[in-house]
Amino acid sequence: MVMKPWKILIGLILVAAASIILALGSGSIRIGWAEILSGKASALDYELLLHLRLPRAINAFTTGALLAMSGALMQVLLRNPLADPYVLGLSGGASVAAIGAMILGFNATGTSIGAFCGAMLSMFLVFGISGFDRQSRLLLTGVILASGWGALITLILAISPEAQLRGMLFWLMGNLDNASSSYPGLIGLAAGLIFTLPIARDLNILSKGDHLAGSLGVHVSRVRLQIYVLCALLTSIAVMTAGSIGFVGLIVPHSLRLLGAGDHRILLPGAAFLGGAFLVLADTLARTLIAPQQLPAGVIMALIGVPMFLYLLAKSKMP
Amino acid sequence: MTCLLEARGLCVPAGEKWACRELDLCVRQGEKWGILGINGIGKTTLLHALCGLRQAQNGEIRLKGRLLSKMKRRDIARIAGILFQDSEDHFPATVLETTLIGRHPHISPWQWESIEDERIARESIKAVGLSGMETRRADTLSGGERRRLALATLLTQDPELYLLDEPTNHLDVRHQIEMLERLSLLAQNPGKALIMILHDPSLAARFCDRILLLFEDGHLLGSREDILTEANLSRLYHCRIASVEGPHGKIFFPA
Repeated sequence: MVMKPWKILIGLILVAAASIILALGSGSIRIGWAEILSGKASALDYELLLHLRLPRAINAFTTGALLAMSGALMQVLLRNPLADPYVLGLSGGASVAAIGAMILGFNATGTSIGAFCGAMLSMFLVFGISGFDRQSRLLLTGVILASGWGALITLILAISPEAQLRGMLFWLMGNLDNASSSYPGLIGLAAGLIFTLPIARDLNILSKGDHLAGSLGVHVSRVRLQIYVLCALLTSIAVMTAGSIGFVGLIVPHSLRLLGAGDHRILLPGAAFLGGAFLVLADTLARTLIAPQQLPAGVIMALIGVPMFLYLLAKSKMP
Repeated sequence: MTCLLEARGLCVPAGEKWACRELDLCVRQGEKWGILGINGIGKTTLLHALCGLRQAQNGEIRLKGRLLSKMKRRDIARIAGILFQDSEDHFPATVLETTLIGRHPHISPWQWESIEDERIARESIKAVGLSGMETRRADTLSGGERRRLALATLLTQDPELYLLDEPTNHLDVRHQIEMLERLSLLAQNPGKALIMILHDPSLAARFCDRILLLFEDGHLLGSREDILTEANLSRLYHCRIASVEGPHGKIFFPA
């Protein structure tokens, strides 16, 4: 079950491209590719393609990519294979801020900005309380904070007027419906790749322990701080774009590890492509399965992802 | 001959106590140092301080004449390498991949391991007797095999100064002797030296030529003949130690 790392990366790029083409072509209105390519399509077709489906596909792709990358980073930072981008209570902080903003009557943009601020606040809280280089305290602090946020979310839901409840629940389940701007995601993705690829080999060693990494020439505290800030930023952007979508940050990096791409130089870009493609496909299904009604993309993703991942795990040689 | 590693007035705290105070040490090329002391005295702490993994309270350490505190981690890693007491495997990696990370300080951030790097790694794997296991997952190895894998990684790092924290941990008697003989041979190469923490004074008598004893209230260092005496070791371990003359030097045992 182990493939050549380079082949995995090339395969993933193709999968990502295919997922976006599929997303552009799927929907209640059929788009004639021949007309589009020959420039004879109607204005409506262009409008649909360029202003509805393309931004949505890009948002889905960047969100999935950012979450998968921060999942991989978080697993090294906490040296815990169970870590995901939300493990430090980040999505909880984002959720409280976002549904708080909804109650106060902010629009979609206000809610997104609220989510971003909530996520960053949550990260800095964990950081401030535990210190970023003490991983067991970091994990415990994050998990406890996450429970606190969870309680606050339930409290807000309990006292919210019924009219707003559905919108809040959809936000909490994660969805790409509210067509927020694509730029933060694209910038985040570029920044993530630019800042992690030069330290990818450091991460390989860091995952084997701080002392070993230090003895092999890794500036441990600097690299850890760098991962931490990047994780906070990437995850906050993802949460801002699509609400809280769990799961992708946990299973995408692990699937790649099971396929033999444990080297972070392959794993990080690979996670971006696979995570992105995965969410694009899940979102395409979510908006077409029982159209015109939309399902939460996070739910579809879990429904496909859980059996797929269990299959990979059962097939792997992991003891 | 100048010192490869030099410590002056070194004070290293270990918890509430001191691993060492006012330690002056000069490790020259070709020397094999043994550090002995009771559990928890701070041997590991001192070893980590000697390669900058831990801050010393006072004093200075120089590596090839350069002040350790002013050196980049990468530059330190090309000169001094350390074998840790334990290794961690949180994520799957093969024996070859694990060994290859030893090349890290020698290749630039954007560079990939070359064929030459892989050759060095394979040679190290062969040297520790793990040939044929290159594609095995490191976490499926036995305790002793993992110990030898950690040594293979250190050999791949190819430092000038080897710092070894209980290198014979987890090894059976044959592999203990083989490991220490291999390390002794290493120290004979030009420019190399090694410092190892040992718990068996007989192994220290056989494989080290310089000895550092860490007591609760100070330290003692010098040549093997001067330092490894029944009186010193009895004082070190708080129990009576006797010795007989063996084929490879003195053999110490609790009397």
